[in-house]
Amino acid sequence: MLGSSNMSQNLYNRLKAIRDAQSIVGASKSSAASGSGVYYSPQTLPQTFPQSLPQSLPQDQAWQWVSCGNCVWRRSFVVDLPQLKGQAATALSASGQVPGIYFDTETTGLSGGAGTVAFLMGWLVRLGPSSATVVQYFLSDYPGESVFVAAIIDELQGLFASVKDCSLVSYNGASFDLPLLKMRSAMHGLEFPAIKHRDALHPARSLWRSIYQNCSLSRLEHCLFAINRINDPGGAAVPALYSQWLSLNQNTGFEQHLGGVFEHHVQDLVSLVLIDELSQSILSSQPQLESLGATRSSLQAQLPWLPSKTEQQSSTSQLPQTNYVDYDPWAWFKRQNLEVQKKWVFALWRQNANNRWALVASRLLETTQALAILSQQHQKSLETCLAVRIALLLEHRLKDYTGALELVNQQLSLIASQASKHDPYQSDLNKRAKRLLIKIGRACRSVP
Amino acid sequence: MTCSAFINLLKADADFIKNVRLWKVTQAREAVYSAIPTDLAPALEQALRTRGINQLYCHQRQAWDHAQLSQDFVVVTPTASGKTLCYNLPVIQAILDDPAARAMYLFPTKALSQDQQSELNEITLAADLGVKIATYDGDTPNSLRASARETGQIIISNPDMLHSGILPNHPKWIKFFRNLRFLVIDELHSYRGVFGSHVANVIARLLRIAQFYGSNPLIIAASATIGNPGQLAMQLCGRKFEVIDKNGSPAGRKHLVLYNPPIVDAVQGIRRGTVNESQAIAVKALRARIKTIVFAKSRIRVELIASYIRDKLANHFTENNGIRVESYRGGYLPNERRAIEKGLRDGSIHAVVSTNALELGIDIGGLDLAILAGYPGGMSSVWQQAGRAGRRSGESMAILIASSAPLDQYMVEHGDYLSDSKGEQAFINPSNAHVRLEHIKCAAFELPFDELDQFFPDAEAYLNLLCEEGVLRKTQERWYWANQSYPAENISLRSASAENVVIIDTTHGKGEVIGEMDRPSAKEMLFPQAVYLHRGRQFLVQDLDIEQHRCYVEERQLNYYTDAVVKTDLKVLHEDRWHEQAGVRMCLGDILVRSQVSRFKKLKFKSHENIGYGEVSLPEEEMHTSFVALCMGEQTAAGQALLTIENEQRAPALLRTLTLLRQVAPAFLLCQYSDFGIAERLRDSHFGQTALYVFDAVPGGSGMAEAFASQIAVLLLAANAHLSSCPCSEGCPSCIGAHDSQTELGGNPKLAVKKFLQTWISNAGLEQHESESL
Repeated sequence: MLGSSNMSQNLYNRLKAIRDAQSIVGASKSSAASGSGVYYSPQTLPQTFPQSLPQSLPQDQAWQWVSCGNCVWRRSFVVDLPQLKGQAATALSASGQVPGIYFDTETTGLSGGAGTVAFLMGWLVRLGPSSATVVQYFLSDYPGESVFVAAIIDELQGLFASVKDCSLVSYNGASFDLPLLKMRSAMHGLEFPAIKHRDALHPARSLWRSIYQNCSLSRLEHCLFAINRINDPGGAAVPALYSQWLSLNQNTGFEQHLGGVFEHHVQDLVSLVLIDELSQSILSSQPQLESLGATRSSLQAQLPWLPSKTEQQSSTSQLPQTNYVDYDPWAWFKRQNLEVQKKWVFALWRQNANNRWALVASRLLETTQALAILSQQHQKSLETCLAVRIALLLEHRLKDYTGALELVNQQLSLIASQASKHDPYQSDLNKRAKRLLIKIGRACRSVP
Repeated sequence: MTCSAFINLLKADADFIKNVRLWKVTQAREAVYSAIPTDLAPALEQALRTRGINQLYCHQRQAWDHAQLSQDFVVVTPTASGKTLCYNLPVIQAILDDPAARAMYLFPTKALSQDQQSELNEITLAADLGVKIATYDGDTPNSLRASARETGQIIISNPDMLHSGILPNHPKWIKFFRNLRFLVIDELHSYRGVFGSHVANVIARLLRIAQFYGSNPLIIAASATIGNPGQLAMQLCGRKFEVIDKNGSPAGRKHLVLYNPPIVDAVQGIRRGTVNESQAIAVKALRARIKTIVFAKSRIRVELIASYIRDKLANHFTENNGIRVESYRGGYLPNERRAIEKGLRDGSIHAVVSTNALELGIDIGGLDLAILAGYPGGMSSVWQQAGRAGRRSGESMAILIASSAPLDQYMVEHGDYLSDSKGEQAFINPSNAHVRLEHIKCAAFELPFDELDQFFPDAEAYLNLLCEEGVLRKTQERWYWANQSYPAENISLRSASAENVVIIDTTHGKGEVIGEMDRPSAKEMLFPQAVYLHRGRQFLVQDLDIEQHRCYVEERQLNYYTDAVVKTDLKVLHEDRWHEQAGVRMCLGDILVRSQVSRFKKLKFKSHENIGYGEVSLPEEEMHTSFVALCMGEQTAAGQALLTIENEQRAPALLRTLTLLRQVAPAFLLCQYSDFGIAERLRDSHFGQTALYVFDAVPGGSGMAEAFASQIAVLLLAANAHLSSCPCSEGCPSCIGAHDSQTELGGNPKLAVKKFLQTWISNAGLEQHESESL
């Protein structure tokens, strides 16, 4: 009779053999689970704060992490935080929003479920016109989680008791952060208090989705405030960094290893405040949106960090002095009549220089002009939707079948070279190529 | 006309009777009643009485008594014997006593869950008991999920949803798990083989989470046809079960008829097809107003039979005499299916033609006649399908129509084989390393592991391995999940791929979704130019976009349908290791099983004559899995044994030996027949010698081929013993397969196999070995 340790050793060896066999043939099943994602070297993660945001992280004692239990750490400090000015500020104060406790979490995974743990949570509270206080809690290893969650609940409850009439504000927290926090509390037998919560994602989406398509925090902070994070790990890489830290099996030194993550978290909080305040201000003044006159130059006065336009842009786009056209040109555009649309579409394309405006312009303008815009845009982005439109114009308006076919074939080989990405236009292109061949053949035959 | 009158009519029909090979009558069975328990809540008793139940069948009462003693039990009684009350009564009572109590019902398919919900609603609404019942599966809209979790007292779900949706999110279900009092597992027999092994691990995970929240549910299992209910339930749940198998429900007289269609081509021995025969009998029955169900073996045949019946009954002036015939199969939209089920229950539909989709316990009410167009391939399926006809009183009938296939022919010519056989045994192996590894991952995701886990006692080796792979992290004597992924997402409990193709009707630019189909079948049935039949309408496939999971079809009127020609081949990818045992050299490794639709036949409706071919160019369906090849070089004992067989007998003898090994393997490998595939090569191109292939039927492998190799000696001896004890003379479906007089010229295959096996065994000295070990 074999001893049980011997038995489990045998099983272990068998499992090893199974795993080895799987890895030889590259069975992809386990790749997601093996954790061998891209590792980010901690050395490449220095300061993440944008050059355009006046930043001064205090270097005093308050900046240091303080242990508050097994594997649980806390720190709090003050950061600079700009404020809206002029009309926008008036509108914000008129919006009647209660003060916000801006909240964000970083987790070990993005998929949710009982195995996803929040390891970094924190919040930001505005102190006045130019600064805010930030609190961060960090979990340096799994066993500390119950203390971690309890400490956060405790401090948040205290905060809510002391600041009258405030609410938690998050970005997509209604469907991610808060359910997660509730789940983690439940798993440790803790009750998550009923706190007033507001999700800043929804108003932001209602304002900017139509123009920026994707309303992620990082996209909006870049588009609205020209914040460019330098060497920021990016939200998607954070879980890998944390798991890399854990695999080092160290008790200290996380400040160095995860510095980028901590700063990423602070930047998320800062951007969240800015986006929220701006969207509240715009939404509360919506009735007078038309008369707000928030052209780029007047906004510039209110948002000191907004970069000024380059000479070239301002000379080509003499946009009418109207309403929020910088924030949502599409909203303005679609309310105009055809003549006005035709008049401004070129300028709008020049200003925004994206596929969408190129496609809109190609529909409104005459063929040669449309082709010029499309091909310029296509040279830049190589997007298939543009190629399809150009081919359409060539085929149907100019009857240039060979030119169209050449472009279609080029685009098809481009798609083939990016085999991993499926292109929804591919079948359309294939059909077009077939038809063009027939047309070319016919044209050849009709020539005597 | 009553069913009895119709049966007499058939008996008097000489044309029918001359093809009947067996007519077996099972006499009516009286009900055995017990009193309604006195401790039943008055409201519940009232609900029973409003439904006309004034006493219980004895097995229902027995179930109640076990539940009151908190004993886990399994009920095994035939279809329509009131099994659901066996668990509904104790569960509802517990909820009435304590509204916080919760129960989880597991059914193998979504369709069954829907059905159970309506059945439960009937009970609870009858007396306004106020029990909240919620179905929680992939079809449950998001808006209803939160309230199901919070307030649902009975949650009806399936193992797949439990595995990938509920357990990984257990903190959202905290209220439910804290109060979980019952776990009900119906259709127990469907949890067998690799799928059953997966489900056993899912149940262990469920019980582990329940324990974490401080509950320990009573488990009730139920099944209609199974040879080893107590054993299976125990393996599935890791607990001992009381078996309740004394059936107290009544049944009317039942007729089982085996029907062999007349020969149309005496030279080739071809008989009239099952499609035409079954529709002819069905039409006869429908004209006599007999409620009929026809089971066909493929989706195409379902559509064909249904449309033939409809054509025959079509009459514009009388609106087909008010007779409604529907087809039913997987791939219809859920609401279409619900409508057909409802129509059958309320009697507005008189006949249904179905695949085995209606075989499991979906409630479609009592039917009078079941026609099985072809042997469905397993004994339990025969009983399930035949059991669809039958009422508590009055006569019913099941007719099995044989096709020309050897297996069908064996069945009809040996009627006793069919009528004597019992429920099949089901085997599972929850500690199959391939399966367990995946579920340990999921369990670790759900809750950290401690040194000793009650539900996964063998976990440590797995945990250490997963730690080394960086999936888990061991810290302060516990293993924590330390990965970004959501493991349940990548693990499918069933081998069939979950990918679906939606079928879009583009006639006149409609763009309307009319059905769905799994990807492998789509390649066989929805290739461009294929004729797709959907509830009697014909569609021509315009384009199949595999990557986008879409198929575009257009409605047409055609006089033909299409049938794909599928080629399957094996390609050895990697030889992992060799070893010699039991007189044969075995190679373990990886194999690619490829099947491809290369072309299709166009077949004319009614006559089924071939009116042309078409080419298909679709990517192959590939399965990468593990295999074992038994290589019989001339120097091996097996190779020597093969040389003693006459030349022309060798290929059939090999195939039949493999078939025989496959028959006996499930009991030793703890799997089911379909968990692995087989192929024989008299002259194998890869190994350059005779080779028998056994491969896992699950992409990525499930360990069956490996287990097969390690147990080869035992399997050989068992196969030999089984063959010797089988009373047939020339082979039958339970040993080497039925004798096929078309392909085997001369010689008795059974003798050849016997000789081959026995020479192999004695050459390899296995008998000696066996006596030593004894």
